[in-house]
Amino acid sequence: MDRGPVLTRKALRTARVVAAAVMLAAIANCDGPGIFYTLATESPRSNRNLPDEATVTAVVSAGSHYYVAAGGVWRRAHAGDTWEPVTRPTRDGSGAEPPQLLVLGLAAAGDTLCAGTVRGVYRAAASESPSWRRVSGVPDTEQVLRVFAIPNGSGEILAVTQPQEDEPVYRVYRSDRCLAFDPVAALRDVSGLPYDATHAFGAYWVTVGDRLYRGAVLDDLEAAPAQPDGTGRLRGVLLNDSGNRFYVADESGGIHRSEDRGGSWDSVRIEPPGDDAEAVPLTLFTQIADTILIGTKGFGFYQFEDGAPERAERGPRITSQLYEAHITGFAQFDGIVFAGTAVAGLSSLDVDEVDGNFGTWNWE
Amino acid sequence: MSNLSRRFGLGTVLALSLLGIMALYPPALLSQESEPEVEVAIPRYSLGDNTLSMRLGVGLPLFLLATDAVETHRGDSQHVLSPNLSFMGTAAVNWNAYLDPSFTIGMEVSGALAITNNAALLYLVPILARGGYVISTPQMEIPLMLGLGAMVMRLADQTSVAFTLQPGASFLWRATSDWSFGVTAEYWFTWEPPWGEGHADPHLFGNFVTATATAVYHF
Repeated sequence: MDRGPVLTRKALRTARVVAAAVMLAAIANCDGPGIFYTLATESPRSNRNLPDEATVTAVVSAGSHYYVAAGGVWRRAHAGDTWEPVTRPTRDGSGAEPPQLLVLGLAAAGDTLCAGTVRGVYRAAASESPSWRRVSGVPDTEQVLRVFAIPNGSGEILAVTQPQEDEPVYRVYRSDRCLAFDPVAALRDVSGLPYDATHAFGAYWVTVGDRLYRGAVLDDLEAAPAQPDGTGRLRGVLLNDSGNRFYVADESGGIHRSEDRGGSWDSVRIEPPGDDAEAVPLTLFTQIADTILIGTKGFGFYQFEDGAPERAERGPRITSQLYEAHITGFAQFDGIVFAGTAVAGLSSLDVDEVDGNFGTWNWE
Repeated sequence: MSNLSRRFGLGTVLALSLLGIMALYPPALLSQESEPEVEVAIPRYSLGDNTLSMRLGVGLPLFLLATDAVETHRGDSQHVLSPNLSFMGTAAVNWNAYLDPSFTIGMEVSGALAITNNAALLYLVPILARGGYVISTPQMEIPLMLGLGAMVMRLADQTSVAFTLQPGASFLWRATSDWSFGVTAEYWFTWEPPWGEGHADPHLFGNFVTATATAVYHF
């Protein structure tokens, strides 16, 4: 008896069952717009020598280049597209080839770069080969956590240092164009470090822990009389481009708005997009024309029309590299918006190419 | 033939005919000059005869078609999109059973690997039911095939399934009574619907071509 056809039928039947089982298992794991959609829309990572997994702490523009701080320092020409590493500061007097210092913050005043490192502050002219010099005022035994350029065009730069073990105080130093720093404040509110600062309505405003501080001068900061009604630590602070609306963001998803120069606040809360998260931790703001973007930890960014935070919508699409990003900060120069992230490098957006949608970013 | 002659010229038609005959029956022409004619019988396969073919080769992702315009990372919206993939490496195992001397049915599992613009690996695993029609000559087998099935895809932590139609043809030289060797060309037309609830995303159709070296075992 020829058993060939019988075997053929049995083999076909078995193969059909196995194939169906594989397909059902695969389909059960499918979700979202699909892999072809991802391939067609995701931003290509560049091969421009800027690490894709970098944690970007600052982006500045000085001279003819953009500079990025991410442990090291990289730069690219305004008209270029290739990043190159820049020699980092070294501790003075440490030998012929002293180790390069970790750069934690970067600010610019005109053509001067101001780098906060694990051992004080250094400055360099934004030349072809920047040569770093230590800036006096911040002891080189102190680790600089943040460096801010106050956004009022004055060239004022603040540096905040790590509290010492024996003295839990955040020290704030101020300089004019990074020439020399003076201590201006010792904030004993240890619920969180000074996170963001701006100058608005004739005063300095600094978010520290869960409170907003205000002072006519930096060495006279006091808790603002009207505090945003939040449940989390305060983060970003923004005066809108029109100068009539003031925003503060917190880590529990709250956006606080004041239209009376900080005299009173009303708040809205961004609800988490899924059941897995209790809150959308917000970070820092930026404004592009009439739209305000607010970064988050782990949800990319949200966007809303100036004056209407209650209509905030999640910005990046599911296929974007920023969709689940922790945005460490935004920077804007000449029509280009940069979004720095934690461990996801740097993305950029050309404002001229935006058509009401801030969902498509280039990966620098 | 007369219509063809008027349109292309008699010489062209004769030359093409000769090339076709040489491709299908090379021994018939060569034997007149060199060796005594050897009569080769075309194998007569029937129900119960099987083949197992193994293929190894390369593929080229051509383009993606979208039912609605898709906005790319550059900010433009298009229906025809780049797949942003490298050349693929591909391998396949195919089992066929003869229903009669010309028609076969069978199944195929293949795998392909491509690299995305972001240096991620894309795995494609088509699982297909296949039907075929085999043109046989004393020295050659030319199976014309049509595969229908689905393709499991994996990219980073994404899994997806696309429905697949794969027409193709093999050109195989009979080396022995058991083995044939040659090449196979296929077109992969795949339809990936947006999976999951609540998605209003477009359907996308992937288009690929592959060329593979092929070995076929008859049993």
